[in-house]
Amino acid sequence: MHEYPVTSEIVRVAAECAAEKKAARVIRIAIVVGELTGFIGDSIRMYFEAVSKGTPAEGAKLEIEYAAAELICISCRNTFRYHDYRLHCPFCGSTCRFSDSSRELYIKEIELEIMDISEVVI
Amino acid sequence: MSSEKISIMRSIFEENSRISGSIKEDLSARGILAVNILGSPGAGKTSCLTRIIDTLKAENVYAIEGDIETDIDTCTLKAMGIEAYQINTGGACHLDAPMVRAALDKMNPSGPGVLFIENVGNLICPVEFAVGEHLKLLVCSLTEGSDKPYKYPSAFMKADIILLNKCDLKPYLDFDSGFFYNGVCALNKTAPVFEVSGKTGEGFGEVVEWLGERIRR
Repeated sequence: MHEYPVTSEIVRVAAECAAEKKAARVIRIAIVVGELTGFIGDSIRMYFEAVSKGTPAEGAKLEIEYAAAELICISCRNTFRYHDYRLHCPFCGSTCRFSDSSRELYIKEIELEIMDISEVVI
Repeated sequence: MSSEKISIMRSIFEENSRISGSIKEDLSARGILAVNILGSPGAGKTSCLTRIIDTLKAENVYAIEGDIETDIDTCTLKAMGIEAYQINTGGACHLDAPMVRAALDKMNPSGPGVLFIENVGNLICPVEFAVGEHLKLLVCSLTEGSDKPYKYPSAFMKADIILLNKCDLKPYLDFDSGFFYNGVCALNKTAPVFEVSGKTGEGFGEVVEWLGERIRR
């Protein structure tokens, strides 16, 4: 349920890119899901099939890369994975902050099928 | 036919954040402070909101209520004389900036004051989708357990103010306050935590004092 709107946005952006490049279709979409966002890759994949139907992204391969929920100690700068309710540094006991990557959800790359070979850079 | 790879590095929340920014700007220009109220279903968001409104002496109070179904909360607020607008998301588990934009176009709040946007009960996506707010107010409650900050760290990290509701039930629950506060402090150094009870009204004087300072700014 939580993944439906984000999947719609992925399809919208991919279709927008395809239109901009006058592409025949979208071949592949690579996304990065930060674990801390709480969004589940498998659910995005499930919605993707339905949401992309009838759009240039229909049939595209959806590649999902996960960014682990990683904590960075604000004192000793050590990094470690978040688990077992541990929010403090296991090395020095100081407070930590979550890495930016664990909090992000973004489209990394889109591959398009182009009718005419042309060099275009976004 | 050939293929072309485009590196776009585009946040999925980018479009929503852009609209949210324009709502915030528009409300700031009208002298309206927008407060996004977040919390699990049953945390007591509406009970806390009615207590805040009762205690608050703001000139103009507006409210947008987000629910999957029904206008029960909006009816409650309208009965208090509040200009309230209901958004039924029809299944979507959070409000987003375009929904709030459409609601504000209909409400057209003019005078300076405060706008409360009560989000759909959920601690996942409402945290990621900004709706034009200046502040995020998180309502959690004793009955949800003391491990909430550890299970939903993003909600606690992004909150500007946290209300720990249902404190009147403290004698009957095994709520581990130390564990809860340790988690909150590790995640958020600036948000104050107010212990309140929507049932008895306890603690809302301090909440309103904190909010009042920001409404007047």
